[in-house]
Amino acid sequence: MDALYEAFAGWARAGILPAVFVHPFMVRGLLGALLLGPLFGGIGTVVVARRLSFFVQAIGNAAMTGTALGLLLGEPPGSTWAGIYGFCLVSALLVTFVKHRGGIPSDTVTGIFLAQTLGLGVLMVALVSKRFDIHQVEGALFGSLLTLRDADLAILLVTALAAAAVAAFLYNDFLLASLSPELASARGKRPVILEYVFVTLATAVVVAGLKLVGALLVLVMIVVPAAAAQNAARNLRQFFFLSIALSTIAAVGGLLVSGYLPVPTGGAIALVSTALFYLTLALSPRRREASR
Amino acid sequence: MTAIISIRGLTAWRGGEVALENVDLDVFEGEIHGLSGPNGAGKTTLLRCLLGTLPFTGTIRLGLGLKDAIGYVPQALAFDASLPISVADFFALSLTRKPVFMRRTQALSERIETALAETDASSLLGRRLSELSGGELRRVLLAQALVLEPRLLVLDEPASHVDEEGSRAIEALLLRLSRERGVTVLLVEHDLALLARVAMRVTVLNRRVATGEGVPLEKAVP
Repeated sequence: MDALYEAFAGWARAGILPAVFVHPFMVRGLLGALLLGPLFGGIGTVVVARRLSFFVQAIGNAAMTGTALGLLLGEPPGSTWAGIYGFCLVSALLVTFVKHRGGIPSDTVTGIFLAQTLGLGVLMVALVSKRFDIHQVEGALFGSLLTLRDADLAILLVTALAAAAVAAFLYNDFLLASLSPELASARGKRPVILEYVFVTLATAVVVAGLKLVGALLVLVMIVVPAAAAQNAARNLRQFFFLSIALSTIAAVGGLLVSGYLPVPTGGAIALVSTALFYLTLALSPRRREASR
Repeated sequence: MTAIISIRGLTAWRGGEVALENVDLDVFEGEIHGLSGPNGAGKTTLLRCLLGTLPFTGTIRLGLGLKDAIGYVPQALAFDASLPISVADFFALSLTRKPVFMRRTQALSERIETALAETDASSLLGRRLSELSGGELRRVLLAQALVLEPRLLVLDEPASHVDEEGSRAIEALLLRLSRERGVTVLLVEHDLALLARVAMRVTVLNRRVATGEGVPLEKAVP
C-alpha cells in the first residue's frame, strides 16, 4: 500500500492530481469513496424500492451503541468491529422477526427498536466516557477520514465483493418480493427468507461504511443518491447505474471538499449528495410534465 | 374429477384474530371456480395461505408437478409512484435471475413481447408501472401470470378498477383459457354477476366459513 500512496503523492506533486493527495489519508479516503459510492448507490436502489430507509437509519444509530459495547467488552478503540457487527446484526434480525411474528408495521417496529437502542446507547456512552476518550464514539457518529486505516478499506472491499455476489443472484428476487410477496411466492421464491438475507446484507454494508461517513449520515449516502436517480430514470437499469454514479460523485466530491476546507467528510458528502438530489429534481422529466 | 387444489380444515389468523376457520375447499382440474364473499370474509387470507405467505393450520394440497408454476394475478402491486420500474422490467424480474440492470437478451425481450401481445398490452412495454391506468395494469398482470403457461391461474379481484369493456375482455380471456388450454382458474371476486357469467362453481366465504366444495351459482345466491 505504501508504494501506492507514494505514487499518488508523486502525481499530486506533478500537478496531475489535486495537491491534497500528497497525504496518504486522502488517498485512503479516495479509495474508500470509490468503493463506497458504487456499494451504497447499488444497495440504495433496493432500500428505496423496499421502503427500508428508516430501517437503515436505525441500523446506523445502533452502531453507536455497538461501538460503546465493543469498548466495554475490551475491544481496542478504533476497531470495535465485533461490538458493532454483532449488535447491529442481532438488532436487525430481531426487528425483522418481530415484524413478521407480530404482524406490526415495519415503521412502528423500527421506531420502537430505535428508541430502545438509543436509550441503551446513551447509557453505555456515559459508562464508556469515564474510561475511554469520547472521540471514539464521536468518530462512529460522524465518520472520520483521518482514522481510516488500510484494514477498514479491506473490510469495505470484502463487503463490496460479497454484495456484488449476492446481487448477481438475488437482485431481481429482492425487488419482485417487495412488489408482491404473494407473486414472488407463486414463482417459487421465499419472500421471508429473502427479507432476512437482504437485511443481513444491508447491515454489513452500513457497518462497512461507518468509518468514512458515520452512523448519523449513513442514511444520506444510501438513500439520497437512489432518490435522486429516481427523479431522472425511466427504468430500473437507468435507476441502478445513475444511483451508483451519483453516489460515487457525492462520495468523491465530499472528500475533496473536506480535503480543502476544515469540515468533516461525512457532512461534506451529505451536502454534495443533497445538492445532486435538488439538481436532478429540477431536471426531472416527470416534474416538468407535472408542472406543465 | 381430480382436485388441483384441495383444502381441508384451513384455519388462519390475521392480527391476532381468526380470519378463516376450518375451511374446506376443492377446486377441480379444468374448472373456473369462483370464490366470493363480503369484504373481510377472508378471501385474500385464503389466497395468501394458498400461495404460502401466511402460516395456517390444516392442509392445502396442490395437484401440480414440481415444474408447474401458479399463475397469480395480484389485486395490486406495492410500489411508490416514484419507483422507475417499466413494464418490461417487471417481467424481467420474475423471468430471469440475471439482474434487471444488465442488458436483456433478445430471447427474453421477445418472450416479454409475446406475453404482452396475449392480453393486448404490447404498446405498454416501455411504460412505467406507475403511469398505467387500472385497466392497463390489469392487462400487464394477466400477461405476467400467463407467461409461464400455468395449469393453475389464481386471480384476486381482477375486475376491480377496470371499466366495463376491460372487465368483459378479462371474462372472455378466462373462458378462452379454460376452453382451449384446459387451464384451471380460481377467481376471487365479490361481483356475483361477473361470476355468474364465467364461473362453473362458486364457493361463498362468509363469517370465515366456506360452504364446502362449492356449488353452482343458482344455489349460492339465495
